[in-house]
Amino acid sequence: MWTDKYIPELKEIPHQREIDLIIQYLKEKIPVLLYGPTGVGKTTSIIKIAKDHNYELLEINASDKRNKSEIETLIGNATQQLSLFGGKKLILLDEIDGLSGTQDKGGIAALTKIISKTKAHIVMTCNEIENDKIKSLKKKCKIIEFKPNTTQEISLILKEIAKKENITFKDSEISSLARRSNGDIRGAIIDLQVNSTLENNLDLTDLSNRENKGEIINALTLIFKSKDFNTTSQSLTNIDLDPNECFLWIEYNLPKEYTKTEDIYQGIKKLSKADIFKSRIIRRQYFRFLIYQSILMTAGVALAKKEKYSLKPSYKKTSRLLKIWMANQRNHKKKLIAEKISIHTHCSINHAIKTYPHYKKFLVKKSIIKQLDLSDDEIEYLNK
Amino acid sequence: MTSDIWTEKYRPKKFEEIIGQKEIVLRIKSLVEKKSLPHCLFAGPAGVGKTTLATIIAKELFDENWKPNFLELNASDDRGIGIIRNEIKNFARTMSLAKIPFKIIFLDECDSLTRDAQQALRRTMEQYSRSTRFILSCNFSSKLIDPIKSRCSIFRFKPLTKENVDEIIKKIKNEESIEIDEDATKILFEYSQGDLRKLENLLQSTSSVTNKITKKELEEIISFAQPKDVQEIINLALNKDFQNAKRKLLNTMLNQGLSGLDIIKEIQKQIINMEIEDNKKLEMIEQCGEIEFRLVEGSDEFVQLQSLLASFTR
Repeated sequence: MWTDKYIPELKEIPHQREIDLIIQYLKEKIPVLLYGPTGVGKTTSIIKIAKDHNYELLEINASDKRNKSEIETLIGNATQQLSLFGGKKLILLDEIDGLSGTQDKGGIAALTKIISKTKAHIVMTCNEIENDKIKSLKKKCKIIEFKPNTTQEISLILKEIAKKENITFKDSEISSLARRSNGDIRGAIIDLQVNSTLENNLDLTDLSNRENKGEIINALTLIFKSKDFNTTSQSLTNIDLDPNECFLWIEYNLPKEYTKTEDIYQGIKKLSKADIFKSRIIRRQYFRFLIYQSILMTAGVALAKKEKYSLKPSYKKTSRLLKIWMANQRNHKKKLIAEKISIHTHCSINHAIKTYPHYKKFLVKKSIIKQLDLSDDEIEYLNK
Repeated sequence: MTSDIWTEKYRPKKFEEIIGQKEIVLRIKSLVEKKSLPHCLFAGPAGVGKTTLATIIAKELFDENWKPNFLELNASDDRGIGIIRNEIKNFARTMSLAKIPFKIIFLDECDSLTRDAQQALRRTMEQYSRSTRFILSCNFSSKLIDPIKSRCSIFRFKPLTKENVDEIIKKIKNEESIEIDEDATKILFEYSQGDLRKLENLLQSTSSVTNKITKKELEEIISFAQPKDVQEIINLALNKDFQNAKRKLLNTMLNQGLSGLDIIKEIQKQIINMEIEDNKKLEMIEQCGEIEFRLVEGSDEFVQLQSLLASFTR
């Protein structure tokens, strides 16, 4: 991922004034709360500050459990002990507005209590400063805003990367990419990478705005157009979608992209293996299988093709779920009728459903309708 | 109340009306007369009279009062332990209202009960044997655990013979004033394999179209009710048209309300009868087995069936 490859040095980050403030507060052991939209450089700034100013970084983000006791142990320990290497410890609590109400119960309260009592190097980040959850916390720390990056700032960075990657581009295309990113520099870099995977040429013909749907479509483009293990296996990591939903996207669009039967066969084979791991996760409650599921459905599908396809179909959301829902509505009526048949004729509901084509032919008789006590809805269904 | 659905209309109401199963009927009848019924297990193929005999027992014992003293449950619709723990226990807990000191629970298709449910049933049969008699019915008694079998008197029902079936067809023919020719009678026996429910349903749906039933009419109705779609799905896949095979698969499953297992069973049956090269056939069957295993293990039906179809396209 270029977002990792081109992670900036501290002095290259556009938010120099904010960074100076953070360094200042850290020296005084005043807790800091950074806020701003996603992808503007909050976490990156902290990581780089830690590196350049010799802090040992202890990062706690949304992937860790963060309830009252967890936070007390983690931060409590960290503030009381000296760093292993004799240096200072910097605690980064990422995405604190993502603390869950149920799973991370008491997390915010514990956090507020700790930072008002202990003196430590603590930095927190969040997206929404007006969030009710962090109201009490706000009073206890210094707040610094990270504004979205300007189009010019992003354009400069993108051009820099494009040059290093030997990509030919037009200035207008770069600034268009920068504009569409809405200040999200990480997003802009991903867009740049995705849209230049074909022959080192920046091509924006079907770049959509960066929103949920855009993200998954970019990931699909990566998976279908690339044959690189590392790039594709990481393609779903930053996506705000349930892995199972991503799976449906890939499954639905695979035969649109791959047209050779052997590629389809190899691709679906990998998908079906991924699906097996999914069912194993459920059965065994062993979540490490998720790694195999996600690699098989991304890199597995990507490497299934012999050659890249030059055509790019427009990827669509699966219509399967809607169809299933509609069929369930239809079959529900059939099931109600089958239940009535089952009681009346001493057979199982399953049997009545299977023999339904026979019953359909004679149930509509008036006397039978009365005996089975069929409703108007059910009669209408029978007559269809 | 008489029913206009033939499977009910022609269901025997008395011991004497039952066709076939002569010895079983005799033995049961004497048990009922002495009012000393043990737990019973009726084993045998579908549509030969297991349910009928159970209802007749109840009617003979309780007269017109039979319904509140007779609980009929179908285990194939609810196979879990819940059926034993809730419905059966609640019913068995109270005493019979009639002169007969017990009530009857008829548990149909109990070979589809899970093992746990069977274990639960075994205790329940003992605990409530003072107030309740169980009549269990199944297709294969081998699927029941031994402790259950040892608690029951086992009656093995035999498939109906051609003569039995002909007798019933004759009865329906006269009653409904329809014509059924010689060839059609043969087809009816072959198709039903002695399963009267199947036979009567087929006969009634055909007679709703015409009064003169011939071989041709019957075959039309039979093929209408059989899944032609599955054959078409296989053909699309073999013709390397994966997209359409996939679409057809989803539509068939959804429109007919078929499960993945229903589909794979049908696919496997169809492949056996297909005229393709032997090695290809073997390979396809092997794939079916693998996919069926995955489905049983709880994988996604649609994804796994797709991968089966994709393997056919090669």
